[in-house]
Amino acid sequence: MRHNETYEELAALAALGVLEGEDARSFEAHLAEGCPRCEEIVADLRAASSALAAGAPAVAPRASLRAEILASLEERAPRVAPIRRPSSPAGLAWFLAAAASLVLLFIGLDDARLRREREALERRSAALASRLTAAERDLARKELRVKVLESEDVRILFLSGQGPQPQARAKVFWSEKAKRGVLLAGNLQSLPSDKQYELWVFDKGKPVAAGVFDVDTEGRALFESPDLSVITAAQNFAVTIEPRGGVAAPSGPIVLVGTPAA
Amino acid sequence: MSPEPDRALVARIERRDADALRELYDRYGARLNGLASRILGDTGEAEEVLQEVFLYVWRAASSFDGSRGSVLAWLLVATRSRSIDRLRSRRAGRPGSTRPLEDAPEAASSDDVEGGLAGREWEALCRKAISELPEDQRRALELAYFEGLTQQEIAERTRTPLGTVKTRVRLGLMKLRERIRPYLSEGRDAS
Repeated sequence: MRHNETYEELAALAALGVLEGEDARSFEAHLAEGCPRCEEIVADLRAASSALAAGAPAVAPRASLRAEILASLEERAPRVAPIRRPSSPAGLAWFLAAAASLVLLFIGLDDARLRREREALERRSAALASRLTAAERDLARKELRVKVLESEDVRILFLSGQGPQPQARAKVFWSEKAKRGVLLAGNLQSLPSDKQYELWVFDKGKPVAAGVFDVDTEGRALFESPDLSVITAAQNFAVTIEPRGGVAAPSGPIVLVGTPAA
Repeated sequence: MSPEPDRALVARIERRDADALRELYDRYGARLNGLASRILGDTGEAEEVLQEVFLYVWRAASSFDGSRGSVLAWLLVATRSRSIDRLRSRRAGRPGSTRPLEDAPEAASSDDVEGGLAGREWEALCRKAISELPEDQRRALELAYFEGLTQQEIAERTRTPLGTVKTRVRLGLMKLRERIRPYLSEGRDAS
């Protein structure tokens, strides 16, 4: 659909991240078809929406937070104060030695408690770090998908079902500039666990492996290709069934193939 | 001596300079904490968001694209999207979840917010622009921005037809943009 005022309205909602349902789908499809005007509006209005943050008064964070954040930047080797045994007490110093060992006993107990606490904190921090890494990976993937979908040169190719799976359907959003594609497929059969679907990009008439993917229980898949900078110009796309992990050259049955670009 | 521009700080952070992160925190920590607190209404959780945002900045400073927006806008978007995520997962289970379009890479205009205007002036002009919006537009924008409500939820909350909500959001944002734009270019020319 060509740009019109309805899309401008959706762009404003998208800038705030409050689009949903049919509107969200229709706007995404509109962007995917390439609409620099809408992209500009989203970008512009997103900047304008940051102004709303000024409606929230600044609140000084807890004073120690800054130090905690800076400390968490690098994993530091925990420093444990070594407990030194006193040189053996002699003669008149027995009283002092006894007092010292009593103090050491307390330090020792305290040290064990601190160590347990520290270990618990370390476990918690490791768990949080791994959750953070997963979230960052997820975010990076979403950003990548949007980058492809929003790139100015995005093309959409429709792939239709072949051979064993005539009912399969797919679309590939391909950005020649980004050398990446996003595949959206449906009606695919689920495969035995030792098999996976593999995407191929045809460049100069030859298939180049573009990654493997699985489908969900309803036969759908959303898959972002890796960086395919080896491709000079993508002519067509196809999906085959291959051994899990993928192969370098297609060997299994073709289930989806696109209409080559003119 | 004029303070080091935000972008220079981000470049230093990319080179693992923790002092630059400290400086950025001192500049915007309270502002970002204020935003997260307003959204989450819980100091403890807001501080977790703040921590996440600065760790994200530390690890992903290279993902900041200076041609697409200011550092402050980047930080605000990162803070808002993390806060709204938490808010929405608190309300998990409700139907009609939203599309995470705000996860898009920050694509603010190239207007350099912090380059032309000090943080306080920027804040003052934004407040003024917000206060000049018609009440119903301001309300719709705030429900979306701070509460993460979807268009349908805003319609229900304000007992307004969906079409009207869409129009209010669009008109409100466009007005904000118009009010802020002249200041931005003025600030830029002056710098």
